[in-house]
Order: sequence, then structure tokens, then C-alpha cells
Amino acid sequence: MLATVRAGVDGDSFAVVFNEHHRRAVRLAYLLTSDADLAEDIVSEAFVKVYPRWQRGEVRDVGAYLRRAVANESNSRLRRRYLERRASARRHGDDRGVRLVDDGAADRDEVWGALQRLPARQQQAVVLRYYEDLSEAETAEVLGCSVGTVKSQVSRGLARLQELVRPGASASGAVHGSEGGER
Amino acid sequence: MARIDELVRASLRERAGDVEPTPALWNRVDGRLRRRHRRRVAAWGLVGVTSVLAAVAVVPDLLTDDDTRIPEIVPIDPALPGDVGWPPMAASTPDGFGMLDVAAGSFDLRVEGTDLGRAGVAVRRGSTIDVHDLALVSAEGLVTVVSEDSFVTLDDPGSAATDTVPSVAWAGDAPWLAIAQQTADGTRVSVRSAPTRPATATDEPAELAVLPAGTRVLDWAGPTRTSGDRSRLLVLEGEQLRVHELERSGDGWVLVDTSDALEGVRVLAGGFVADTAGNETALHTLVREDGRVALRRDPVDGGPGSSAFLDVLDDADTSELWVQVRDGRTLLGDGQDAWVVDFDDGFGGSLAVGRAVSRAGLLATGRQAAPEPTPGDPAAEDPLDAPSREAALPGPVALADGRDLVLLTADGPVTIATLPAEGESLLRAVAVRPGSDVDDLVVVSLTEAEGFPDLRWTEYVDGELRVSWETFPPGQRPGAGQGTPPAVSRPVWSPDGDSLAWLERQGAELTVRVVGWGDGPGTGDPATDNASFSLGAPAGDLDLRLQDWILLADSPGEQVTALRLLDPAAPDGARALQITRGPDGAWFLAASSALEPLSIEGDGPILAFAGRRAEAGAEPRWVVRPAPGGVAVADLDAPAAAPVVVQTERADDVVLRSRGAEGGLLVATLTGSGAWWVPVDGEPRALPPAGDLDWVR
Repeated sequence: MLATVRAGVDGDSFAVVFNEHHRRAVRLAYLLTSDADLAEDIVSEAFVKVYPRWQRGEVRDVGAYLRRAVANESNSRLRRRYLERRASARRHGDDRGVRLVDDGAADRDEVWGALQRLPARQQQAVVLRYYEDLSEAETAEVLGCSVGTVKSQVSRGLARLQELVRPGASASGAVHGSEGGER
Repeated sequence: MARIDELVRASLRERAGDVEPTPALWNRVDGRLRRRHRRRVAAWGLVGVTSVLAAVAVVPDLLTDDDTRIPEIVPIDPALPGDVGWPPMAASTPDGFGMLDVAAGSFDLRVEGTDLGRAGVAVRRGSTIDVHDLALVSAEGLVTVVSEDSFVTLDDPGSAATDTVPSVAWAGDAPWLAIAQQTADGTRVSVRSAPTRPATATDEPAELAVLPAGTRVLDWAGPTRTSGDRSRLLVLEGEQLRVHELERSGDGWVLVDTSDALEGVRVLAGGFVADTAGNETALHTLVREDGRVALRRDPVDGGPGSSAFLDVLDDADTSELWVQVRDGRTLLGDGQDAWVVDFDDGFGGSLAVGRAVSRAGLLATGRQAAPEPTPGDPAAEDPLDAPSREAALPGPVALADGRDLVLLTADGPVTIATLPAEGESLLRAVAVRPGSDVDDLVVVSLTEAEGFPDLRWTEYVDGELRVSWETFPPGQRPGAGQGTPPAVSRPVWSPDGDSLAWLERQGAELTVRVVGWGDGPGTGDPATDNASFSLGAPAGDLDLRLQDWILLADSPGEQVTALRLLDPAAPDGARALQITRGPDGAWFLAASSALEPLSIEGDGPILAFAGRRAEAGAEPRWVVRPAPGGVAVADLDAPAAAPVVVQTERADDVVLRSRGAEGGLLVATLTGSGAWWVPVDGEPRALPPAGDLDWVR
């Protein structure tokens, strides 16, 4: 008696998963790094990591898994850049010419520019809370820290932003017309 | 003006809307997945058998090389009985060595183009795809020990001394490896510990016996953990099977008995069927009877055995046949293909077949199960020195051991970084950043080189050392702005991990240094980047030792914390220094800040303290005081309980790390004389040697 073998389940089903999640993942990675090219690198890495677990049926919520993978990978990439920047500063005496911020966007959007000035952990917490609309507990889960830490990170981040943003500023002047979320 | 949170939300949505993924993203993902799967075993099929294996049909290659498809095989029917799923395995193939997940139909090629394992694959019981101890024998006779994060090729001149390659077997309950090597005098059998599991076991091989030439070790079962344990080593002398009984002694291993060979039976290969405790219950052997190859099962209690012919092996090269038994599955092969058999009750089960597998070893089905714990030193008799720590420790621990930074998890200790030897560097203290886990670990270490202290940080992410002993930038470094290096205390983290503090002493001048932590030391924000607070008299005259940093009150605009310090010369030896974080994130000492004594019950000098008493502010819960033969750890919240006494020769410089009310304590002496885990309601358990240690949490 021969067993039935189902072979060649092709990439289409994973392509469906990819299509469902990649746009949001890229946008999250961009918000965490302010670098569109780096964001695609990060998301590529995240999908490669999720695939074997998805294939084994171990991933119940692909979106949540990707979110965590993107946050972790963003953190790692930024650290690497930070170290490279510091090494460069040691070699050349300063780090002028090295910016991590999307200059154009920062110039157009004062809030976005201020966000880039937050420490990375605060910035991550703020992005996850206000872009991903995660609860404090969910944010803590993604960042691998306590809920209390998330609370203090977000609180201090917002307090700092409040100081940095001039009265009357808006996000590209579109605060009141941007309720639609992702496009 | 809109509220700041509304502005942030709007800005993030605006900026996210600026970004559209490029079509190249899918191509990159797809390409990487294809490359991953192209490196797979040529084919896997599943064959069911209902009685004697008269023939084995092999399902043709179903994993296409068509680059547009991602292959997957799903076993459907008949499945192996017992509902344990198809077992994964470590496999040597013509492509190289890797992990074969039969259920998923995938092969993760770990080392491409190698002959690792071509002549033998031994898998320690309990190993999984994720966590494992393997011993691989190459075609050239080299033995390589592989764990999930390291490969170590044993450097033994006997390996390549003859044309016959070594054979290897893992002990049933510990990472001991028996190695049989051919020499001019016969087969030398030795035992050594896994070099991939350092810190507790010896790397020096202990010679066990010299057996007749051509002897191979096949399997090893029974207890080996403590002195006096007796275990059974299964060997094949030519085609005669024997069982050697070994006894572990304080000095090593002794061969105490040898069984008679089975008369009239030509054994080709074999392995023990062992229970969950590692004790053998039956023997599975490949035998040659009347010119045919059969698989036999013989209970060790002498009960009736069973056997069945394997026609497919009749023409196999006898020297290439191999068998391994794990978890109710028998894996066997002829050097080219492998078969998985369910053989508990004769041939009533099913068979899986894998083509192009030179050698393989069965892994446990679960992905996270760990191998059994690492044994202590063979000479260790005291239960404190032979702990089953992995089963008990409530979480991972970072250890300072000489120049090594060691991560101790349920899988055993792993050295993640070693200080350079230059300058006689030493690792004095470790502080794990709150929020760390084993996959994303940040450790700040107090190091010393040529007598000068310094702080360095290390990051270990997803098993990879990302930052190794990086010193702090000049503005944040200990002694910043001072001509001569100060004495530096152990560093402590703020409760949320956003800041790091330590004490610096320059003569009678005592300073609290605080550094904000962004992606490393320093935030770039003047408010939080770094700060110094000089402590006036009388603090400068005291021998204060920084213990920890605790949270007292937290509100959106203000966070009140305290640095807790030990003043060992004072009768009331615990003090707290209040330090507050303002709305801009900056730390400050209030003008009235002073070293406040902490009330501690009991008499006698205090060597260390940790934890917090229930509803008692900054007062510590656990206190260490000297005791006859060591130190006594008292739980002040359980005054009726007797203090736990930890026997140690040196009672000074004690480190105490709390893991909260339920997690218990870590105790160590900075002199490195010992380290222990003290459960809240249990006896202390010895840990690997450590000068300092900290929970990962």
C-alpha cells in the first residue's frame, strides 16, 4: 500500500501571505528606520524567517509574527548603523554627513522630524502605539519589555515631542484630513 | 493646536503613505526561499508496509527542481502509529550535512559540500532540530562535535592513524561521548565530554579500555551522572555483539563487566531501545541469517524476541549498514538510503524512506526540547556540586567566568564572548539590561586590564555576537574628565533599562555617574545623555558598594527611584540614595538627597542584599550574613524560616541577585569560589563557577 504524497505545494500560498502583509510590514519598517531601502531589506529578512515556521504550521498570526520580526530586525540594523557611524566618527573625527533621517520628509513634517530625535526605544514604542495601534501590553510583547517600560517610554517620548514641536505645527498640514489610515 | 498624540498619529500615517513596496521585494524573498530549498535531499517518499518488508518501494523524486515551486511533502496515510509524527533527523547527504524535517519535507543544509557525518552520525538523546548535541564522523575519520551554535573537531592524533574510521556513541543521560579509535594495539575506547558544552566538564579524554581490533561502539545506555552509576556500552567486535558495563568513579571510568557474545548470530549493526530515563529495555539489531538481512528486537529482560527480513538490504555492503533507535523509531540505512521503521511490536507499522542519505540520526520530534543537563565534574559528590540546574532555574543567567561571558540557559552554558588576553584582562561584574532575553541580550561588564577598571558592553542577538566588549564613548566612559582612572563600582541598570549608573571614587571624592542608553551608551539628548553627581561627606569616607537600582514611584511627569548601597562597615549596613527623573528624562538628586539608612531586621554584618520587602519601601527582602562554613541567606518576609546556608570558603564580596518574589536568588562570590541558585522554597543548587552573575529578564 503506497501512501499518497502531496508534493510541490508551490510558492503561491506563501505569495498570498506575502501579498497580504508586505505593504504594512514595509511601512512599519520605514517608520522605525526612516529609510525606505533599509525597510525592504528588513522585511525581506522577516519573510524569510517566517517562512519555515509558517510552513510547519507554527505561525498562528503571521501579521503579529512579522511585526515582531520587523521590530527586532529594525533594532538590529539601526544598532549596526550606529556602530558604523561611531567607527566612522573615530576615523574621521566627527560624523558629519551621516544621517539616518529621511531629510526630505523631516523637513516637510516637523512632527516626523521630531520623532527622529527620540531615542530608538522611545521611537519604537511610539510607532507601535500610534501607527500599529497596539495596546501597551501588545507593544511590550513586541519590544520584549514590561508594560511599565512601554508606558514610561511612550510618556517620555510624547513629552519630548511636545517640547520639540512648535505650537501650531502639523503633520504636513494634514492632521485633520488623515483619518483614513493606510492607503 | 492638536494634541501631540494626534499629531504623531497623523504624521505616522502620512509618512507611511509615502512608502510603497517595490516589485523587487517579492523577487528577493522568493529568491532566498528558492535557494534555501534547492539545497535539499533529492527525494523523500513514504511507503506503508503491513507485514514483512519484502520490498521497499520508493516514491519517485517528487521535489521538483522547477525554480517556480517551493517543494513540500506532507505525509498523509498511513501515518506512523502513536501519533508522534514523522521524526526529524540529522543527516549526512551527498550535498552536505543538515537537518531533515520529514514532516515539512524540507532540508536545512547546515554545511554544504562537506563529508561531515559521512561515516557516522551519533545523536544525543533529547536532541532536536533547534537544540542538539551531535557527533559526526567524516569519511577521513575526523570526529566533529556539533551543537546548535558550534562545531568542534576533536584534535586527536588517533583519528586518522589507521584506515578504519572511529565510531562514536553518546551516553544515555549526559553529554559524554564514547569514541572507539583503531590503534596498532587494538581499538582504544575513551570517554570525553562534549567540547561544545563547556564550563562544567573536562575536555580531557579518559581512556576506558583497549578492545580487540575492529571493535566499534554502537550505543550507550544507563545512568552516568554520579559516581557509582553503572551504564552499558554496546559494541560490535567484528560481527559479535557485546555489552560492556561501565562504572563511573571519582577518577573517571572503569570497565567492570563484559557480556558474552550471542552465539551463531552475525550482527551487522544495532542500538538500544531506551526508556525516558535512558535505561535500555530492548535491543534492535541488524543480523544476517541464512544469507539474508533481518531486523531483530530482543528485550533485555530475556523475553521472546521478534524479527523480520529486510530484502532491500540483502545486497548491501555489510560494513555500511547502520541502525539507530530513538523514541520508538528505528532508523537504519545502507550508506545510500535510510529507512524509518516503527518496530515496537514487530512489523506492524509503517516505513518512511529517504534517498540519498549516507548516515543519519533521529532527533526528537519537538523543536525546543533540550538535551539532558550537563554533568558536573566526575569528582563531584556533593549534591550541591552535581545540580540538575537546567530543570530548575526559572530563567537564563549571564555569568562572568574569568575572561568569559557565559550565557546559562536550559540548554547548558554557552560562552558568548571572551575578553582579549592582552593586559591580563578580567571580567569583574556583569549587568544584564532589563528587557533582554536570550535572543536579544545586552550586557554591560566591569572589566579590568593592567589594573585599570573600565565598562564595556556586549550584545548577543539571535545567537550572533553583534557588539563585543565595546568601550563607552569618551563622554560616557568611566573617569571622563579626570586625569587618572578612578575606582569603578559594578554598574546597575535603572528599572526600565534606559539608564546605567555606577560609582566612581577618586581619593575621597565619590561620584554617581549616570549614562542614558539609546542604541548604546549615550542618547545624544543633552537631558538624558549622561550626568554626574558628586556625593559630599560623609559618603566619600565610606566603603559603599552599589547593589541595585529600584523604582519607588512612577508618574508621567516624574519617576522616583533609589540606588541602594551596602556599607559593610556599618551595623545598619544598607543605604538608599534617592534619584529622580524629571519630565524631560533627566536624572537629578534633590537638594535634600542623602544616604538614607534602610531598616534591616537581625544582627550581624551584612554581606549583600536584594529584593524588596512587601509594602516596605526600599527595604531589602533577602540579606546575606556570615555563617559558620559559609554565608546565610535570610528571607526577611519569612522570619520563621531558617536561613539557607551556602557553604563557601570565601564569604566576602558576595553578590545577590533577586528575580522577584517567586524566582529566587542568585548567589555568588566575586572571588569565583562558587555560585548558586537559591529557590524561594528549596535547597541551593550549584551553578558553574562564576565571579559575578545576573538574571536575564
